[in-house]
Amino acid sequence: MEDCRFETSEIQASLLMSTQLFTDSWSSCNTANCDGRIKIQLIAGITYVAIQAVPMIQLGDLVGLPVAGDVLFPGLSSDEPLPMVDAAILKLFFQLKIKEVLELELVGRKLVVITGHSTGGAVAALTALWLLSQTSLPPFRVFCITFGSPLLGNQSLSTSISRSRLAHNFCHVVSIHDLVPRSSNEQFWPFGTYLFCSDNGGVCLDNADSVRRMFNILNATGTPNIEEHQRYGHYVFTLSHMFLKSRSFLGGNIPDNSYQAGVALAVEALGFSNDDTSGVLVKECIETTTRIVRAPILRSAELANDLASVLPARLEIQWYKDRCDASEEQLGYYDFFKRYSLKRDYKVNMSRKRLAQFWDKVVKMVETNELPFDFHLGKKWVYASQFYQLLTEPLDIANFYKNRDIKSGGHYLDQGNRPKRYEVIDQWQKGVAKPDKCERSIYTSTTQDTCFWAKLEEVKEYLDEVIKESSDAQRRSLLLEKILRFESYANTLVKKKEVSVDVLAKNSSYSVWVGNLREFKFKMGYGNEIEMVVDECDAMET
Amino acid sequence: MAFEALTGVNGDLVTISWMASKGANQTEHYLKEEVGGTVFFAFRASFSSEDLFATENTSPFGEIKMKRNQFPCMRSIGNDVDTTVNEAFLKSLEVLIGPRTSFHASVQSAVDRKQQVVFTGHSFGGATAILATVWYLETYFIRDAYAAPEPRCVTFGAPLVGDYIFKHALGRENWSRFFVNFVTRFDIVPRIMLARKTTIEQTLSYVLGKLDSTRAPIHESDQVITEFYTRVMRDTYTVASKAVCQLIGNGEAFLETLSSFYELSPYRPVGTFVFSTQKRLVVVNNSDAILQMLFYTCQSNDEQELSVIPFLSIRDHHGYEELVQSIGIKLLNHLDLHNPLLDGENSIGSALDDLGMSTRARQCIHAALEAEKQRCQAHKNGYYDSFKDSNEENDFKANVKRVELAGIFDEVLGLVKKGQLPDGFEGSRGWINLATQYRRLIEPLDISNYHGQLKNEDTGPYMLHGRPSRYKYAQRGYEHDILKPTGMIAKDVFWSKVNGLNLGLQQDIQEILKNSGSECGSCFWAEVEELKGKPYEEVQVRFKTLEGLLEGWIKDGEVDEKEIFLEGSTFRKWWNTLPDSHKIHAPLYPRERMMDETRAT
Repeated sequence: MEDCRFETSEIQASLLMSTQLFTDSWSSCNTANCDGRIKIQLIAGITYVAIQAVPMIQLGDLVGLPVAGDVLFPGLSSDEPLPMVDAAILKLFFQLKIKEVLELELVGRKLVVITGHSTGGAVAALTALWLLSQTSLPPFRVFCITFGSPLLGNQSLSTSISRSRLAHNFCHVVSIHDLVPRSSNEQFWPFGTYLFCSDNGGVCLDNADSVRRMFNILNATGTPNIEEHQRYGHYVFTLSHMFLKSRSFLGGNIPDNSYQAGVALAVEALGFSNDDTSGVLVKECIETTTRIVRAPILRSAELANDLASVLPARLEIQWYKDRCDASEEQLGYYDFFKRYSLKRDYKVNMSRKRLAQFWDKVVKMVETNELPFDFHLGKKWVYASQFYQLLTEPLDIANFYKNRDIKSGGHYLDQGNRPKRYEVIDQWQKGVAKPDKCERSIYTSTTQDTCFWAKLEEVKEYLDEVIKESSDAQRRSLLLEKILRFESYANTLVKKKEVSVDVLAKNSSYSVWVGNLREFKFKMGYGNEIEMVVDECDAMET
Repeated sequence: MAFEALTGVNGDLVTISWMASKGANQTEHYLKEEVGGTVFFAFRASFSSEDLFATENTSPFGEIKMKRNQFPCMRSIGNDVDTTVNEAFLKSLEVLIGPRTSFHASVQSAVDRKQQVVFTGHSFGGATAILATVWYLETYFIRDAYAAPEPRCVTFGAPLVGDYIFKHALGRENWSRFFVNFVTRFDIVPRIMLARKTTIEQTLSYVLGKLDSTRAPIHESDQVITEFYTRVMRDTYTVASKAVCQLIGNGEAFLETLSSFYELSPYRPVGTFVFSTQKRLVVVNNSDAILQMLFYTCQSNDEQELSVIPFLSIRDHHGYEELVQSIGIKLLNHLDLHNPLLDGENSIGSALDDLGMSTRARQCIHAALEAEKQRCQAHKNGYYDSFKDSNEENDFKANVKRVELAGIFDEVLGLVKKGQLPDGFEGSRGWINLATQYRRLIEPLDISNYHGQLKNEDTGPYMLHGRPSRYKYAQRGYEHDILKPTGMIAKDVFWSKVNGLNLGLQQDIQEILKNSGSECGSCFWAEVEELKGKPYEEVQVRFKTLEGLLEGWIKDGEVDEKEIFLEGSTFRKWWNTLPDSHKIHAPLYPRERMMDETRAT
């Protein structure tokens, strides 16, 4: 691990504080607070939406946030446990009719800053979150600045915001003496970038753990001040002119190491001395957040090299597929691998694992923001990931069904069984415009629907169940409908040549299944008329 | 003398330049002065706001793209983007080299007599001098036909002229060394272009009036000037801080969001900067460090200083006479990583003290210098070498090697695109040759792989969707290198070759040849794959173009002629299906016959 050589948490803070954005946001908040209503104004091309502070509300009760599905926050990833927000703030969000107001007001805007002071800030953060977590991103840029606002939600909210890669849209300005932003309730959790400020300057922290740690240090050492909560106007004015004067080190010797010097300056910016105990705590806190090892750009450049080094594994699988396709058993690589008996299957399994490891790493790096911001839009990575998925997901499906616990009866496509990397790669593909398809002349080299085999495994089981007649009539007709739907879907794929030859190999699971189905239909006396029930558009949705 | 070693110019040359620059203000456009075989061109400074921001220009910093056919070198090869410069400055260059002045002819005669040329100017005249130098470099210096001597460009308190690519392109061609810019510590003019037009518009003409030395003197407590100074410094600070955060690479996503709300000046310093203080001159070459210094040297230490700096920022714009006279008397420091930031009278540490650099300022400068070092390390760490080592022809047989190399190449390309390698890297002949060799040997394999896996049916034609950017990049670099001495750009050369084939109306042909593989020799096979199987009449024009260009490619080594007519090659199979009427008149016909005869014997 290479040492981080410079420290930027203070530069980031003073950069933000020197901008017009900072001062204009505050003046909008001020107006909103004085008028007691939402203030929307356009300054130098930026639309400021300031939400007024509403005093005298009871904070501290968490309530589940309606995420996923067609509700308020569909785009927010909804892992267990449920993201929760302050009930009073959510109520305010509805009471102030923010949704209705903004849906009208923000048409045609390019840059939108949502801001607010105190409770208004918490509502502002919720508003920005609502704008950003729609299924499609808004046609404008959103930035949220709050001043002295209380914490909005729980830890799960915080993690799902950063997993959805939205955290960088939030900045919370907090005076180190202000009590309101700290909550006595341990369940509340910070998210986004925090700008801690004092009369001497400011420091940005963007890691929730460090922010919490900083709150703890401030709780233990600071002198809380009720009036402090109303002093943001003073801070904004003082700090926005700070850049004109040079920042020299006050206490004693400057550390030789640039990183250490930077941290020492940051500690002073918060009004602490580097020598006393609380100063040392602050210093440690800043150090833990800023110790990012390498610049994202360099990391992604190296990743290109890593990708090249796992490519032999991909070629190995490709080669395996070609050999299976050509083999006399006429089985196709999916079924070969599911049988998994030969030494070469073992080797392929190793390759499969190596690739999975690599892509899991990439997905994780993207989630933790270690890679450049637009990494997943790069053509190289979109194609590389797609190619990987097309070739390898069938093997992962085969592996899943080979080792499946039959009693549990779970399927690959059920919640939680499909490896996350594929879902992420699916997401990436959505971001790319599809080229115009021309008609295919021969079968594709890999089946275009990577979950084809998983779907087949499901209907295979359904067919067995129907044939055995073990369940009641109602369920049987339901299953039969599913079977026919898949049959028609598969037919379309084959007709459009969107499948690879391995699907159609004489002894492949698919061919066998088609045979069984035909036999079953014949036995039951079904003609072709049933097939007509399912129309083609429907089939495509399967 | 140390000064000359660091800056490439000696004291006398600077003195004459300064005298000429002063003299130029009495002329309409420029002043020509000949001293000891060197010709000095000094340009007049104008203090009207139209000469700073072109009137019709609506962009936030008055910027415009340079035209590629006029300035073929002024672009980025990696990102294929042209240079951005201030439109008003570019316009004054255009007037200058236009028919209304004798400038062009004067330069031409100096070139004819192989005399050294120096372009110089004070204030906004310096901006013209910088662009005039670029024009000279593009028009005379790179052309083999002229063998023109190296120019020099000496500016005094000049504003910034071009963007990052401007700086990068000059670095790549190794031309940065011709530019020397003198800056007195508080002079506002070198900082003006870092501010947005909208923030300074209102007070600009007032301040320009004050900057013009011929006008009334200024007062220390002029509020308009204080306001102007504050606004310029605010924007300068944003630019400098954003730059330093980027160099360090922290908080990327947050900064990205923030800067999308805040337009930042694209302009960057170019060449060598000489900052002056009471006691010394500080020479800096690193553009990132200069940017930081432009901000931090103008910061104040206390309230008292804060109240006088706005005044000094105007006054210092006329401090160049004193500066020029002091060369040779003042202490001299060179700011780079090799000179540690230690204490002592003649050290960088005390030089930075003189410039009023705070702890924070030192850190930012250190970060800038360190970043350059990292770039050089990335370069040395052998992204390039590992590529070179495996670039043995024997290895290419293995498909695995092919993809591994692609990985390394992409890694280099990723670094190039984000400016993480030294500017000169892309211009080095060694790299261009390697990239070309790689492109010629491997691209055909990639093409065959692409069509072998039928990706053309999944994704579309190779040239449209499939061609990896590494080849496009390698092609751009190669074309840039061979066309540089001619002053032409690749697109024009290609079309003039095609027009030479006389296949029909130029417009129709351009439409037909859109995205065709004929654009580059190593895409020969992609074009063949695209054309084969289609009826001859339909693709006649494209095929004739391909044939017409093939001869040149074989000569340049772009296409291996032995492979074209190999029995069983894609091309051969397709050739056999062509009508005889075509074959007999085709330029390839004799070649085929020859191949067959050789085989027969």
